[in-house]
Amino acid sequence: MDQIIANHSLNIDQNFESFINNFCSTTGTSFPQGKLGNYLGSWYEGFLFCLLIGLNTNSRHYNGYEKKYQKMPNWSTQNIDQYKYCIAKVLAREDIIKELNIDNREGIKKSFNSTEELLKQVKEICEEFSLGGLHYLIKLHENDNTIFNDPLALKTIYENTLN
Amino acid sequence: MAVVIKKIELNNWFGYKGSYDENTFEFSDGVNIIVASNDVGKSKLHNAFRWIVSDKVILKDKENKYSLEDIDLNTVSEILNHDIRNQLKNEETATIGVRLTFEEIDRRGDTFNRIITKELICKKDVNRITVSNPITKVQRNERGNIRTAPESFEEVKNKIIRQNLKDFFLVQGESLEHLTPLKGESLRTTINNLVSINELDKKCDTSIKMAKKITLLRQDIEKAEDSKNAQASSNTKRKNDLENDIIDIIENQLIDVQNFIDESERIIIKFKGQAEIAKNQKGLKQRIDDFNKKINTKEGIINSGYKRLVENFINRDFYLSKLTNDQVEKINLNKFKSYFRDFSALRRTELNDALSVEEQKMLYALQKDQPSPQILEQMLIEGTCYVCSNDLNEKSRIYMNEKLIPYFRNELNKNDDELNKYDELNSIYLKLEGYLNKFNHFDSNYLQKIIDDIVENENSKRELEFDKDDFIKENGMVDDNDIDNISLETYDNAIRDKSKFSENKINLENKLTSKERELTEIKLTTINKEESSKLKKSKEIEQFGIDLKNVFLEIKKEAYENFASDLEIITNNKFKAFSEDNSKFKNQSIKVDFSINHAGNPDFEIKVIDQVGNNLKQGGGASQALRQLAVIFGLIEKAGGNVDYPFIADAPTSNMTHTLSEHFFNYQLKNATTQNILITKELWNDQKNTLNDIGERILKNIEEIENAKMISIVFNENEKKKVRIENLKNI
Repeated sequence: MDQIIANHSLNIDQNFESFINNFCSTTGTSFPQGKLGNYLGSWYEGFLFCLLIGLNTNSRHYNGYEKKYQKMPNWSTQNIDQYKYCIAKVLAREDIIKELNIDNREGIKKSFNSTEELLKQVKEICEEFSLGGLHYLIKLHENDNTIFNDPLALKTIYENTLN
Repeated sequence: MAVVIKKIELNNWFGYKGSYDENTFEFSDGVNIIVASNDVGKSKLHNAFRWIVSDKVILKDKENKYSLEDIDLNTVSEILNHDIRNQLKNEETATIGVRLTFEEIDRRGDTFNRIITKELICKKDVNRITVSNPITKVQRNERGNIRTAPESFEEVKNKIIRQNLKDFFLVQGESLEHLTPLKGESLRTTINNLVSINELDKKCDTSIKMAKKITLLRQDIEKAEDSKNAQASSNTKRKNDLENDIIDIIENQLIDVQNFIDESERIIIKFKGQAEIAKNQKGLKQRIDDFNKKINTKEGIINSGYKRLVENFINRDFYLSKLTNDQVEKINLNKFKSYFRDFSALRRTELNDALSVEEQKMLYALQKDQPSPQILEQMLIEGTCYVCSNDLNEKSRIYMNEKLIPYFRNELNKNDDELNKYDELNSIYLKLEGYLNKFNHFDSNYLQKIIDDIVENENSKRELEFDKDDFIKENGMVDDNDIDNISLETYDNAIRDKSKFSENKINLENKLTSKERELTEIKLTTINKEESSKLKKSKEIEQFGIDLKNVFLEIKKEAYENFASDLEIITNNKFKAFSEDNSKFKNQSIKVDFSINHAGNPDFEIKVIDQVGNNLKQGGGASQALRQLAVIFGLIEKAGGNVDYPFIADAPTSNMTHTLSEHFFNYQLKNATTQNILITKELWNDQKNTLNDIGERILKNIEEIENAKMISIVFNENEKKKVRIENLKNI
């Protein structure tokens, strides 16, 4: 199972890449001049941040990527545990196991074929929640384009999604 | 011989827009007082005299410091009238010029008159103004006809004020201390130029040279006599060498080193003011830099705090995971896991339904005692049932082997797909629980500590910034360009040089003493030797030469001492007269210090002292200005008829009180021995644009004096940027 998760690729919606750069590097260059605590060092972190926002706010973007682009073929070892944590959060949701049809015997018999297949579905769900979180951030930014200026912006935004 | 400036005319010179005849000042041969408010053109008028006499002008820089400048590409834009400059089109030219008319009346009463003109052609060249070399002209007035005069411009300008005396006759009140030296080589030169006291120097020099020649002669004789006796010869040689060394030390080395000390001292005096300002500014800059350094350090700490903060949001400690307790998720994972276990149990029950009732019972009994497959295997080996203690028959053996042991080994339904799915899901959820709890053990306050640290540093950075702002508000902002490093460096180098040369001087003096002692010893050892009458005579003559030299030196010293003492009396009289009965100056007086240095040259220093003789270096602007003026007029008076040059002063009383200022002008009106052109704002009321009370009183006095005159410079009402020159009292 660990190996399957490690082999998950990291995708990005290129249409939103310039917006993402407001709070996260998508090129691996961390902390450019003038950006302080509000700047994540890689899209792995950005993806996970959006995913958590999406889960907290129950924002899920079912339409998937508009312009999908594979950033990395595998998941980074530096963030793999954080990704697994998110997967655990996803699979701890009633709605998700209902959706995956693994909350009843008949469903399992019919829908569950293998761990790999299940995790593939979960990866897609994670991407949808991450996109949902990203759209949530876009909306926040539309209302207030200084939202990312505060060095503690990401913390504050995240905390607000918990309420 | 008295020089009188008749008039000065200006052409597009600073604010004096227009041609010579539009900007003409005519002077009387007595005291002329020119009054005006600030920025009308007083200093510019004074600069016109200075440019004619010295080729330089005094300009104020951005920090209001005065400096002597040439008129060149850098300065011409400031000097050419701004209106004219702004109207110039590309390639067009305009002329800056000063014309001065003066008369010199010699002792026989013959008059020598000359009109000298100095002009510069300025040309607009795209964005800048270029300037030609000065074009000079010397003319004379022959019964109304102006003709070219035979003399060169340099020759004639030297007649107005002799070059080496210009610092005493052409003075700028606000920078008197820098421009009029009262110490060292410059003062000695000035004194020698003003009074003929240095004629004695020549006589002294001759006597010194003569004594030296006689000594050489005596040495030759002695050498010839000693050639027969090796020891005597060696003594004589040593004696001669010592004598020559002593002369070299006194005449060359000590003079050189003293000159270096004097030069260093001159530089120290000249740059002291600027260096102190620069040092002060450097200190301020250092404090501001310290603030900036501390602020930058704080900023660095804060930035690294922010960096740590964001790095730990998701990376490393995954701070965001700690903001929720994930209780619901944990319960759910457990709940889902139990689903799969339940499903599995159900499925197993379904599969176990195929067993008989007896089997069920037996299994129940075994399950109750929790039999492991190992116990069943043990039962098989022993052939006894542990439940009923009976021997196992063949049927039982087969049954245990094929059914019970695989059942308990969980091997029975291993090919059941449904059961495998539940097991797989169960193991997935077991892992998920591990994933969710992965970050539990990290310190959840870690990030908060970083944030607290950031906040604390932000506050202390803000405090530093407030302190810095307060400091700048109190002391002003200083950046590197504001600091006059050149003056500071020059001053520091001069201090170092002076100390180094003073040390050299002490070493030389020690060397001199030791050589003199050795010489005396040698002389004592050889005194008893038999000398020829020729040598004896030569020694007598040598002694005579030395005595004569000493007599001249004594006379010279006495003459200089008398001069210093006279000068002290005269300057003190002037000082007292200028300060009248002002209580502030009551206990102050001028001291003319005098000494003869190693080289036999006189050294003067003129200072203000208090009643117990302390040097009042920090005596304040007014007493220093009074001292300068008292010395200037004291020296002029001491020089008598030798130096009848016009005294041209800009703001001579700028550092004085109104009372002192009024007194100074009245004193000059009554006592001036040469022509005075005194430019001042002290007699003018800026607001009313007319004479103030003191000015009115001085004008009244002027009206009673035949050859005194007062001229005002005011802005022209019709043409705002042009000035109007008005005679308030015509002679």
